[in-house]
Parts: sequence; structure tokens; C-alpha cells
Amino acid sequence: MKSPTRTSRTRLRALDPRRSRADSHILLTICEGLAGLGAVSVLCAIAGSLDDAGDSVVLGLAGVLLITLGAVARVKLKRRRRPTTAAVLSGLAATWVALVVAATAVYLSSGAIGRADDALVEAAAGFSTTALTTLDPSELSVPMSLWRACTQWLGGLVGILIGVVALPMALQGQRLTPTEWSDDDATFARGRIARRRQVMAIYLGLTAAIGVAFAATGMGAEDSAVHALTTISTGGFSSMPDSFASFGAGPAAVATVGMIIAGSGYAIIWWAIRGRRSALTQSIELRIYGAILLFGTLLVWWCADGLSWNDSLFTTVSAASTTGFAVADWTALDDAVTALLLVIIATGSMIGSAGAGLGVSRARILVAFARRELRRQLDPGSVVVLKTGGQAVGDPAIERITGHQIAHFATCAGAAGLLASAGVDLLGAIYTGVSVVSTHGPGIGVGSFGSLENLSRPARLLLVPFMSAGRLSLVPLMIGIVWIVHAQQGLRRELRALWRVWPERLASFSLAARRALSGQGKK
Amino acid sequence: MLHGEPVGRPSTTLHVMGLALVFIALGMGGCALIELASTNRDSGALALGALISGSVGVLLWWRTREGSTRNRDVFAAVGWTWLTMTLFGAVPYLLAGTFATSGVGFAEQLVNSIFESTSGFTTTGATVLADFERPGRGLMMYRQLSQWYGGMGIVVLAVTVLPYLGVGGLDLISAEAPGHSSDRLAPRVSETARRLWAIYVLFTLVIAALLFLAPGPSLYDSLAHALTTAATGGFSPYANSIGHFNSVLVELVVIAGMLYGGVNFALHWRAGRGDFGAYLRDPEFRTYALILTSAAAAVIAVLWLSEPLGGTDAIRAGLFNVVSFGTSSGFGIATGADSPGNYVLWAPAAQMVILFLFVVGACAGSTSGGMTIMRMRVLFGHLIRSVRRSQQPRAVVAVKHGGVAVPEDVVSRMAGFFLFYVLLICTGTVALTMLGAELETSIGSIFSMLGNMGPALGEAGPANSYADAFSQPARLLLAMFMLIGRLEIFPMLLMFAAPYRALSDALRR
Repeated sequence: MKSPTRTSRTRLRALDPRRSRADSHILLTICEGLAGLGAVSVLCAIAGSLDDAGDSVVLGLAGVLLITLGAVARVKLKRRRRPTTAAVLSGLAATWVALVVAATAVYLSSGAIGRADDALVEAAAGFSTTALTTLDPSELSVPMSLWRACTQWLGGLVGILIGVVALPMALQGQRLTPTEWSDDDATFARGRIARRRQVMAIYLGLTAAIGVAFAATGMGAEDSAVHALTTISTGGFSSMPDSFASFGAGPAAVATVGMIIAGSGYAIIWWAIRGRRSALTQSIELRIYGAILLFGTLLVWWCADGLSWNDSLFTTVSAASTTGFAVADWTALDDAVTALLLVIIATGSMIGSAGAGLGVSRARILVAFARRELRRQLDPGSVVVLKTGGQAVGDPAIERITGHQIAHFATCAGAAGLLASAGVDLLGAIYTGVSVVSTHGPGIGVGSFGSLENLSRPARLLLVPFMSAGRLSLVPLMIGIVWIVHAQQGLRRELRALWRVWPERLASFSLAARRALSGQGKK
Repeated sequence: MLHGEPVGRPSTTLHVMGLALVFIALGMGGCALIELASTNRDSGALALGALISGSVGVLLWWRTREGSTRNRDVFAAVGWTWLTMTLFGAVPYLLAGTFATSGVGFAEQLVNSIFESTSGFTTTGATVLADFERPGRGLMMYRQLSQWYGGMGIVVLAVTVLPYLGVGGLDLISAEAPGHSSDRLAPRVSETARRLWAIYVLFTLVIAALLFLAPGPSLYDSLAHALTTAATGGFSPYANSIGHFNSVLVELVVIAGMLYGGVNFALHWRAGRGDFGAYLRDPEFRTYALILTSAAAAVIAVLWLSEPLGGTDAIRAGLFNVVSFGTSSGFGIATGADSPGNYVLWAPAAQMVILFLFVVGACAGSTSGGMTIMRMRVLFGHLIRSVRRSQQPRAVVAVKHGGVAVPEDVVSRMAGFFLFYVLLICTGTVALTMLGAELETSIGSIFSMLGNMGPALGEAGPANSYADAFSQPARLLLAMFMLIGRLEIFPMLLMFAAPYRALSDALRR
């Protein structure tokens, strides 16, 4: 039998249905994300079917629809072996937007929220893991309460996958922020899919463990599930309007431990699971995180009137992990405590965790950079190498981190400015701006325990882009924006060029068409 | 040796410090004469202050000579000179009992005197003075003069008479001048310093003449306000500041003076030589104009729409305050707590614009404070570059200012400056709240002190005194932040490096 020629091989490949699928990384990412939301919707519908059949039906239908969409996308679309950095980051941003839109539709169709703007804010707060809410959670049915918590759980998972899987691979060897585990191949699996599975397994396991621990303290099944989902994701949604103030010391203690774990980087958790004690003890990032928690707790306890030491620890951990749970009204805290907590919230959790904020590792490198600049003022010719995890941090990495820092504070300032323009008082605008970009939530400016009742509707809507900026990490978001701007500029250039040369282009096109019709085309 | 055999111990720090104290003593002496010729209440305090400062200054100058001008010595010279200057500058207030009201002890008087002196020399304009009628006219003129000295910089003044410092002199000017700008106006450093001071003196005289021609201010008022307008300082001998005159013409003259003071003095020099296009060619000046215009338009619009103010009041209050804070002057036109000029009562959006101006400041190389527009431009360029390089790791992208690539070490230094700025804001705010101040007042005051603005937010607004808003330790902390802000962080942090090195060398020997 004659072997097929090169041309015929190409034709055969084109006829193969698997190879004829449209190539779209972004669409596929969006559909996979929606399918994930569909899967959890179906699970919530099943779990809460005995409590509220109506909400379960809505969730079930939405889940089936989203899963079907994902399945169709898997058949019709394919992912390139190595998508560009911009495509990966744009895909993540687009997926986040699609999830928020889908969740808004679910809130509206279930009747849990009557207004579209409120539903949008609630959905955005969910997927950005920000502890802000437009509804009274105690009035929700079991399936909706679980599903609401699941939006934060998915948001936290997306945040970790961005930090641990998507960004390191999308940036092709560059390190957005050098960490102690960046060059440690033993820490995470090397392939994208294997690493994703590894992270998801840890995430699921920790969720289950925290849920069991909550249940062991006497919390009900629904409350345990809701709080486990929102603790591990550093989300902060609660089934009660006054968060953990409704529960006893036992659940608060479990939540404290859960938040500490959730705010730790996944490398730290992995090292702990694998028993790599030396890696844990040598981790400077972990030591700094511990020091923030320890000294923060001591200062909060010292400055605050009426907070016991365990409430001070809870509050500090809630701020450092950017979770937003509360045992006391965040708006009623002493000024010194509020200022201190605001700094802790802005610093945020460890890199590679579900938490947001500037990041402990980044903050540490920035302080080292500041010391280097101070030394260079005295001796401009001196060569000072910054190190993390025993590895030198190069100038490109420092440049990215300082750029990220500027972007972070500019975003906080932008949020504060826009909130003030929407009528929020000056202090409230500043606090909420910082808090929302760190995906924390409750505090001055918004209502007690993260309720948005005090905020005007335009102000609530203004929070949405800043919650997304905090969740999706700023530099990737800006890369996406630059990519869009470049694409738009390129398109404008093309259009301008076409406008200038269209008579020649038209003439050459008609000539080519005439040649093709008369069979004189180029060979 | 051109100046004869060198005498005394070589120490740039003590030598410059001595000269600076002599200049301050001359100022105090002049103000003592004014006091003698007018109210004659505090002439003794001023004369004694002049005697103490002059004696110490002459002694230091005479017993030392210029020494090393390595970076650490330059920072030490500038940092220690400023610290000493503010301490000696407090002597007349203390001797005159300016803050000696009933129930106020010596410690509080001392703290208040240091605060007022620091606020003067750093051109901040924050005040703890409650009774503006108590000090004599000479002492109030000294208060104004302290801002005038601080505006261009006392070390720059010292360099004008220290021609032998050479390149080190330029470093001294750079370490003291606001912004990253040490443009040479002449081949010789001392000539550069002289030219800067010449523009400054001429500028002050022109403002004084214009104010005198306007209806309202007397010769004394004109000179007093001209000194602090040129310095973009904000002190006034009256509690209601410029609002005391309630004159649109006076306000317009002060606005023009503040705008001029907020521009790089190298541009003024070029304009003085006939090159008026230098202003428009300068990208920093264009951004300065754009920021002030946009901020004024935004504030006026907010005041017009949200406040019960008429169009004229909104324009008058909005424009004056925006220029006052956009140039880090801190003058006010509030005639009382409920006056339209009291921006603390404005809508949050307008207050946020004012807070933004606290941070930005004006042009590098001017008498203004703040982060300066040049730094903001470079930092923005750095941000865009880092995003582009994350997308295209091998791309060679330079940060440009006015079409010229900014050297990497300068970009790095500015990023370091920004980082220190943020760290200081955070630590300062937490420290002030722990010392009992309100959070809003603390945030506003830290921004205000680092930008050398003067009035702040909350309880430290234009109609309030810092003495009511802050405890004694908090006031001392604020004075330290004024110095850090005026010298742009690094000299104040590094002033201990040279003494530390000298001490460790001595111990090793």
C-alpha cells in the first residue's frame, strides 16, 4: 500500500473531527469555569433539595445548563499547546467576568436578590472572596446559602490556581514574585494539569477537614459547610448577619486556625503535609507571617477596649488572611486598632495562598529593596544582592515588584477617590478602598459585619472592578489591559493604513481576483 | 592655599551648621529691630536668641573648616544642620513665652516652640499658635522669615559663601533642594546657589510690591506674606491667614505667587534670560498646569453642585485652596469654622482632591514639597514599563522624561523613595493613633507633614490648631515628619551614618 503524500496527509488531518475543532484558549477557559460553577450548583441543589425545592430546581437547571455548555465547548473547541501570556491572563479575567454574570443570573432567577445591581455586587463579592454582602444571609434557603458560599470557594480556588499554576506557567519561566518555592521543583508537580490536581486535592481536603472540625464544635451541618467553604477560600461570607459573633468560642477557634492555614502559601501547606520540617523552619516568609500575627495580636489586644486576647487573635488573623470574618463590629473598633488592622490588611497574606493584598513575600522584598536603596545613597557604586530562599532576586523581578507596588497603591487610591465621589466620607472611602483591593471587606465606610446597607447603590457598583482587581492580581490584569490597548491600537493602525491605501489595495485585489478567475493565479 | 592656611578641625557638618546659625542670627537680629520699632514686646527674646545662635554659629564656623564631601558627610551636614537650626530657631518663641498661657508647663512650651520653629523652617505652615495677638510684630516677622529661609534652603544659602566646596556643594544643594533636580545654572556651584537666591529675592520683592499695591495689606503685611508666598510656606501673622484681608485682588496676587513658587527655578532662570518657551517645553511644567487645572475644575464643580455655595464663592474657595495645596503652601481663606474656605466641611470628593494634592506637590527644583510631579511621572513610566516587560520579557524599554531616558539608578532611587514614603505614611498613622489622635486627623496630618502642606484634615483643619488635635509626643513626631518631608526622607535617615562611622572608627582605634 502506497504511503500517503504530504498533501494528502494534510487533507486527512483536516478531515479528522478532533483536529478540526476551533482553536480558542479563552473560550475554553470560560466554558470550563462555567462548568465548574455548574457542577457545584448541582451539588448544592441536591444537598438542599429537602429544604427548598424551588431554589434547588433553579440551581439544578442552571447547573445542567452550565455543564452542558462546558461539555459542548470541550467537543467544539481545543486549546493550543502553549497559549500566549496575554491569552492566558485574558482568559482568566474573562472567566471571572463570566462567572460573575452567571452567578448574577442565578441570584435573580432564584429570587434571593430582587435587584440586578445588588445581585451583581453579591456575585462579585463571592468570586472575589470579599466579605461584603447586600443581603441578610440568615434569610437564605439552605441550597442558596451553600451555593453562595461555593462562589467564594470557587473564587479562592481560582486565586490559588492563578498564583500557583497559571501565572508561573504563563510567564514562561519568569517569576512574577520570587518566593522560597519558585525554584523548588520538589514542591509542586511540574505539569500544568498535575499541579492543578495537586492544588485542588489539598484545597478539597482542607475544606473537608475544617468542615468536620466545625461540626465537632457543635455547629450545625449547614453552618459547618458554609463556614468551611468560606474559611479555606479566605472569603468571609457567613450564614449569619453578624458573622462569628453569633457562634461560641469553639467555632471561632476553628475559624482562627482555618484562616491561618488559608492565609499560608500552598507551598507551606504542602511542606507541612510532606513533613518537610527543615523547609518550614527555614521559611522566612512563614516567620514574617507568624510575626505579623503575633505582634498584631498583641498590639490589637493592648490598644482595643473590650476585646479579649482570643478575639484579638481572631480579628488579626481575619485581617492578615484578608478573610473578613468578625467577632466584633469592625466599625466600632478603636482608631489605633483600625489603623493597625488597615496596615495588616494592605500587607495581606502569603504569596500562593487564597488570600490577597500586597503579599508578605513582596512586602519583604520591598523592605530589602528599600534598605538597598538607602545603602546606595551612601555608596552609589555598591553592589547589594537581594535574596529570597537562597536565590538572588534579579533586577527584572525587583522591577516587577516595585511596579506591582505602585499599581497596588494607585488602585487603592483610585478606589478611594471614586468612592468619595459617590458620597462615601473621606475616611470610609480610604479604608474601603484599601480593604476592597485586598479582598477583605468589613470596616469603616461599609456597614457593620460587611453589610453594604450604608453604602449608596453607585458606591456599591464601584466596588465591583476593585474587588476583581484584588482577586485577579494587578499586574496580570494590567497586562490584559495593555494587550487590549495594543490590539486596539494595532487595529486602528491597520484601519488608518487601509484608509490611506485603499485605492491601491482595491486595484490589487481586483487584479488578483481577475487572475484567479482566469486561472493565472500564483503557484 | 587660596584662603590662607586652613585652621580648625575639618568637618563639613559643623562648618555648614555654623554658617547656617549665623544667617539665622542675622534674621533674628533684624526682626528684633522691627520689634523694637513697633510693638516692642519680644525684642529682648529675639536679641537674646540672635546672640545665642550667632555665638554658637561663629564659634563653629571659626573653629572648623570644610572637610570631606562624601555622600555620608553631605547627608550628615544637611540633616544635622536642619535639626540644629530648628532647635535654635525655637529659642525666641521660648524666651518670649509665646505659648505660655495659663496651665501650660515648660515641657509643653518647649514642644510647641520646637513644633512652630520646625513648621517654619520646613515651610510646612502647621501651627500650634492659638492667640495670634500675643506675639509682637517682630516675632511674627521672624516666624515669616523662618519660612523664607527654609524655602530656598539654608544650606543653599551657605553654599553661596562656601565656594571651595566644589562638586560637594552641588551634592549639598541636591540633598536639600526639593525634588530630584540639581540643575547647574552656572559652571561654579557657588554661582548656581547665588543665582537661585537672586531669583528668590527678586521674586519675593515683586510679590511684596504687588501686595502693597493691592487694597488692604500694609507694608508690614505685604512683606510678611511675600516671604511665605515665595517660600510656598503658608504662615501668616493673622489667624484667618489670607482670609483676613477678604480681598479678591490679594488672593489673586498670592495665587500667582504660589504658582510661580511651585515651578522649577531653573525654568525661571531661563525665562529671565528671554527663553519664555522653556516653560511650555518642560513636560513637568505641562503636567503641573494640567493637574492644577483639572483639580481646580473638579473641586469647583463639586462645590457648585454639592455645597450651598454660589458660583463666585465656589470658584474663589476652590481655586485658592487647590493652588494653595497644589503648591504645598497651605494658606487659607477660611474666616471661621463655618466659612466656605474651610475645606474640612466640603464634600468627600473635593476633600479627596485636596488629599491627592497633598501627595503630589509641585515641580522638582521649586520651593514646594510633596512627592513632586517629576517623581510621579517617572514612577508612572516605571509602572508601565514593568507591565510591558512582564508581557515581553526581552523588551528593552526605557523610562523617559521629556523624551530623555531616565538613568536606571535614578528610577531605582525614586522607587525606593516611594516605598519609604508609603512606609512612613503607614507607621506614622499607626503611631499617631496610638498617641491618641483620631484616625482621619492622623492620616491627613501625616500626608500634610510629609508634603509640607500645613493644615490637614479632621481636627487639624485650617480653622484648628495642632495643639488641640495632638498630644505632646504626637506633636514632636509630627515635627520629625516635617523635617523628613522637607529633606525628602534620605538625608534625615542617613544623617546618623557619618557619626556612626566616625564613632565605630574611633572605637576600633
